[in-house]
Amino acid sequence: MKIEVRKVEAVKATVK
Amino acid sequence: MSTPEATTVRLRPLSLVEEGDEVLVGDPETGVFITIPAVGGVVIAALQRGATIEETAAEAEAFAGEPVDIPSFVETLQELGFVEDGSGEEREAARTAPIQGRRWLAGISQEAIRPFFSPMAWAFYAACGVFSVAVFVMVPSLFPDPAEDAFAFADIGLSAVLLMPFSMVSMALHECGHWLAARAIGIRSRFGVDRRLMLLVFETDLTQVWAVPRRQRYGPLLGGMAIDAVVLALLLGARLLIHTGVWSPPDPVDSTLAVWVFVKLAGFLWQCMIFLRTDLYAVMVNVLGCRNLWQVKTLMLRRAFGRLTPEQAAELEAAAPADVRAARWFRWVWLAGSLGVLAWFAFFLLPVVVVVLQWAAAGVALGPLTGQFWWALLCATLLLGQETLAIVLAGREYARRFVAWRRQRSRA
Repeated sequence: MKIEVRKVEAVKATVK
Repeated sequence: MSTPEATTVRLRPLSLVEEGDEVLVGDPETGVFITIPAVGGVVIAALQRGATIEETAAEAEAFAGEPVDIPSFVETLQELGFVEDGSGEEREAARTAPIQGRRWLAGISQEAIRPFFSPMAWAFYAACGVFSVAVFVMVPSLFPDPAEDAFAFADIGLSAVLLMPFSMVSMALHECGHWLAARAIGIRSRFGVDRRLMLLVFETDLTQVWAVPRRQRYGPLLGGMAIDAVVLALLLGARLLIHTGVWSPPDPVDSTLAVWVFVKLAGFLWQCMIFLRTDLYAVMVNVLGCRNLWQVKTLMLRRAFGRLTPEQAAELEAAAPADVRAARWFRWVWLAGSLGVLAWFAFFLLPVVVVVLQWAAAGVALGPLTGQFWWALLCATLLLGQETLAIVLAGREYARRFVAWRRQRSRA
């Protein structure tokens, strides 16, 4: 079997 | 590169977090994180121990009950930069904002800051939030009235100039809340400037939270709003003292406090707009167990409008089920919210911008030898500078995309 890799998004905290 | 079976593979210092039936793996130094099925975690743990490819394959097969393709997985790890290249050089983190610090920021020891984010401390931050809500319920007159409280003084310029330092300090405190709460669990962050639609925002990159277990991620994500809750409680406490006659400072003090309360509440409203990828968006991603919701939302929206390329369709096919489940409704929240903000910008903000520009133009027309010239210039910069920068950043981004799109088309 092949090991499937999934991307994980960046975590951005904002302020306004 | 092919990997002979008897060789070992030296991995960089990777973080491994088991979550359900998958494993979150990442290189905190570069900010690159992925999820893989549990067998991938077995493979990485074996390689980290120094097992050969052959030994690793045997372990993985014993775990999975079928042969596992180790060489192709190692190749993927190499592409991700997870394999030590032996150069000993420091890796640079991938950029996540147009203006951003290059290095991850520690700056304070975990032991020193930990008490400020202990369970007791969080109870205090929550109490500050409850206190503020209670004040608004018991004394409704202290709730901001935009018509009266948006500007402290009749002179728009003076109001803006006086608001600027508070707004800056307040935003800096919020960002420090994220950074310090991250330090309290031993991870590093970095500061930057980004945009949301046409709004300029300060941003803390907290991507390293993927290196800790799920429950520990909430601290850094909520650290900014925790500080906001304390500031709001202090402001409302002061206004309450004035309101009850315990403290009677000169008049401008109360009207200045009223503006500051208005600003802090606007900040909380901002955080609720999850379609702008705010702190509460990140909290929602963690609650729902999403991995790449922002991208999957875009793909699902494109699919709804029949604008999915074959590559994008393949990417969506491979997306995590939690992302697809959440994106099914979040895409419409994003679309409606974004259209709402754009409409607000066009119908409410642009007319104000025009008034400010007309007022500034009248001042500038008097020439640089007059005080009004410099005053008009200063006020216009303070009022319009941030969003002008956001629009410049947006223009740059779209120009870059357009060039890439044309290059792709000329190749096709």
